[in-house]
Amino acid sequence: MEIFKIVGLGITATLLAMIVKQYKPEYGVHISIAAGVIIFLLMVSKLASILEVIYSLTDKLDMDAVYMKSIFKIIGIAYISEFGSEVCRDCGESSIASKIEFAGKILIMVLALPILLSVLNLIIKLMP
Amino acid sequence: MIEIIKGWIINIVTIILILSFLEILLPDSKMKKYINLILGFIVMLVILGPIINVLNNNGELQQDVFSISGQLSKNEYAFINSNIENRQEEQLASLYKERIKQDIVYRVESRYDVKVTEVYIELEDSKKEEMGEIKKLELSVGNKNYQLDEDTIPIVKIDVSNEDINEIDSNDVDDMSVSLKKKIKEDISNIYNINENNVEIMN
Repeated sequence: MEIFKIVGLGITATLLAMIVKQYKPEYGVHISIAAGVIIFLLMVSKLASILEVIYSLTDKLDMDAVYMKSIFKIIGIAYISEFGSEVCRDCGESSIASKIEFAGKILIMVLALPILLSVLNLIIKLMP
Repeated sequence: MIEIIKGWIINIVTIILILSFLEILLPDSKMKKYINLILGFIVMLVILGPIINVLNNNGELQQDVFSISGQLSKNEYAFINSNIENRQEEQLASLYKERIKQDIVYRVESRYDVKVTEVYIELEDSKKEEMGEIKKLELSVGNKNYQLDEDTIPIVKIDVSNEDINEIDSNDVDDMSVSLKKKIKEDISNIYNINENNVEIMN
């Protein structure tokens, strides 16, 4: 049961961080970052297999692969920027966190813009 | 005909299922609404698929996406490039100025018994044809034998832009002789190809 492993890790890390924070508050942040990274790494192989399946499904679909690729990229960017901004927010640096989110939004926009513009071109072409 | 409609419906169902499955994966943040917007676009593209195929039957849409993203990255690199070019030009100009200054100081100090304390150069704008020509040159020279603090600093000014200034200040009463200044002035104007009529000496 993988979920026990992860919940156990999470609770242990939380307790450790609470105890350590009383003496050295800055080490609590280190522990929370490390716990987040470890949980993510534990899940990475399963996530990869899920994405693989979805990707093979889109092969059967009569659809361009570009869209799926950009969707995966967008989801990845959203996750990573979320992780970074949460860590910053935990340390009380909410302004840096919002900057990270801003950067994530811009990168998502860069990826989404071609799709958006091609839809727009298409609709214009549909007009008689 | 039935086959086309069948394929179309399968497409729509699959894409909606996949996208709703992907929505579980999304983080619960402000990003979610942006991603939902893009997912909506993709559903729209799939629904419009047959019409697209009728209109242009050689997969131009993907090419469109590629060309637009290529255009975007081209713009980005052009922006970065222009920044780099500007910086390079500035560095080049400052280096050039620095070299000219060193050259002038070396020439004047090696030939005459003076000390050049300050050089001010104005160059021709880089946009023009005669880029890099000296527009204005101001030299502050002092006597070599004097201590720096006691130096009186007369200025040898070479001005290219003003054609008619050719006067020698008569109340030149400090230790720097008029003839020496004139010599320096002639020398510099010869070396750097500046018309001697445009040379002005003042204190």
